[in-house]
Amino acid sequence: MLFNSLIFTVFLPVVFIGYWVLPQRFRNYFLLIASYYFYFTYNPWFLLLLIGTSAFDFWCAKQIQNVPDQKKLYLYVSIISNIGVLAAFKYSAFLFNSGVHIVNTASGSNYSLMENLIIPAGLSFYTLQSLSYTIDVYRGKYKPNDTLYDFLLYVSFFPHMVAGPIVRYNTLMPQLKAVSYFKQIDWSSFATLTIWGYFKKMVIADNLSEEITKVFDDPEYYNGFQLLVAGAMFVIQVYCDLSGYSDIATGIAKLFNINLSLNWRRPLLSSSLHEFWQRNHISITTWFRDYLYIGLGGNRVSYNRWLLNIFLVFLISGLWHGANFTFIIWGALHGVVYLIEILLKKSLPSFKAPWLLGWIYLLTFHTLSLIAFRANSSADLLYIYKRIFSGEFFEGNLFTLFQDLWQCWMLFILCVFLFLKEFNEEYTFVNRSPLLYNNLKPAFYLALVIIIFMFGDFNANTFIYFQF
Amino acid sequence: MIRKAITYLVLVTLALYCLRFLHWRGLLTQKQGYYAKYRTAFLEKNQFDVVFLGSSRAAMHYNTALFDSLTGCNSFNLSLSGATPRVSLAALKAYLQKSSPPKYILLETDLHNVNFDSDIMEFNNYFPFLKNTTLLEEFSKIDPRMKHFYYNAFYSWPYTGYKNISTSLHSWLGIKGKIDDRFYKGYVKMIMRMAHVYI
Repeated sequence: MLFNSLIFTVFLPVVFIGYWVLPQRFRNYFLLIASYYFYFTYNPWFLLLLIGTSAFDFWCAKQIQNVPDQKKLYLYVSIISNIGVLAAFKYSAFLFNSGVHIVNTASGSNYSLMENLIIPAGLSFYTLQSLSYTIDVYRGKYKPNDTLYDFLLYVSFFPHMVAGPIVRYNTLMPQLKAVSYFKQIDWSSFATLTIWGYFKKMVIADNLSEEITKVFDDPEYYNGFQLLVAGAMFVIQVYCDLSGYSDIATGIAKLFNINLSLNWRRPLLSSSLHEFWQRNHISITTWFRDYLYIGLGGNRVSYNRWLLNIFLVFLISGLWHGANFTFIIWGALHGVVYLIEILLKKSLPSFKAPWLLGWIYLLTFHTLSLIAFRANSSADLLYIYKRIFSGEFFEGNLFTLFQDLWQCWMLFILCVFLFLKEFNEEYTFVNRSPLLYNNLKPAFYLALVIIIFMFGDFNANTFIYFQF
Repeated sequence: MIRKAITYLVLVTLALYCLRFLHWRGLLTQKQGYYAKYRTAFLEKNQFDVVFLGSSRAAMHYNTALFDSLTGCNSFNLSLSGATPRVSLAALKAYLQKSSPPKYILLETDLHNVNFDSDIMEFNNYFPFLKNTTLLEEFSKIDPRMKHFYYNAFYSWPYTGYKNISTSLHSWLGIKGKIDDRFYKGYVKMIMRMAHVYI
């Protein structure tokens, strides 16, 4: 079930009414059943996997507390089981096929490749969320005193289960346990977040997606400039798709008086890669920082090892996105440039580039790196980079990027609109005048609703991160 | 809170219906092009001797100007994109609501369009013309959503598409579309690029 599907418009009101009609003590059970139904609609069999992995992590956490002598063992069991499930679904075909390629090339034989497995929706998200709990219990941050049902709901709370934000135990669990009242619902945040989220997803991301898919499916028909423009469009698509999902999830959670963590803080307005990663997909970034980077030793190691740790985190985060060399290249590119920024800062501590220059640098790099993220294969990626960096930047196009100039203008205007909103949030232009703000805000969101109906793509397109 | 929500709902509803009225008005007043063809067929009184029916193949191959000059008849090409005989029959009935029966009807069929169960292709193009009650009734028999599309702006807007809005804007601003000049009494002169895009 997708947030932008017709069935969700029935599901959400039913869950909302059911939740608030029931007495407090039954609400979380109801929410758990609803969340499982939400997941059941993707693939009934994978629901068993979700229940199984989260129940197993719960048991491991209990064992960590109950058998302190063997707590390391239970931590490893939990990590291996989670990584094992991830690897089995996401990486088995990739590893097997890479091996077959090597054998075929070396021996001249022709062993057949394995087909990719269907990845359970949100697998990467709920395993990370579940894993963070056992690691924190091991580190002594929490005591696993909750019931199994509470923990299962913590992992599978439907607004954020499939594509984040990944919410930490100490953020979500107290809210799930707290007594909440209907009159406490923050309707304004619910409306503004969901409307803005749907606008980003259905109007901007889905409309851009159509053009971008055409280019990346047949890159040989486009010249370097067109490929670069398609890459820039993909930057906006990814941001709108992912942050759109987070906004909708955060907005929907407000209906149950739950505040999910802030996941996006206008990353496209960053002026360095360092700043970008402080603003972009915050819940994932902080997860990798707290559980991988710290686990590798963080900065309490030698200088060179510290740099290696940073690079490894980026490389693994690339691999986390999917089993393809293109994701690894994307992660490696970010790792290398991040390290260059660190080294530059070390050698020129007082240097600070003007914001505009930094912004142009960040967007250019982000565009080029996201082309690696989007390319269908490493061969395609190589071809695209060759076209972009060759001297024939404007030559060799067989197809035009936009069949319709009107569509091109419409998308451009909508993207400008998006950036204006982001600039306003960053520098609070309108908010400085309460009179202007109070009058403009309702009109703005009403206009967004109308724009969603007029220009939105209602084909219930899946969200990009569902594949991860 | 409830009062506020109702106010917003009313405002959105009003805005969507007003905008749809303006949008449809633009399409209905198109001087030359697809929508001008539909307007002639479904909303105007006509007295054509010959009416061509069929799919886009007929629309692009049955040249009304040439036919009229050779035969001395007054013909009209009512062929619709992707139209099966069932859709063509519905269109003919709708045509007859305002216009006099033609002396001859030529129905084009081919392997592609002899499919009686198929949907109405590019159904969103017909929304403004559903004020022709026969068209509404006949198309609703093929696609029951047509009545909802006609009466419910919340339902029709998502299917409208930006190309439709572009055409309406062109019409309001008095700007000709790229292929508008290629229309003559329902016939549309085909070029290779169009063939790639429209067939």
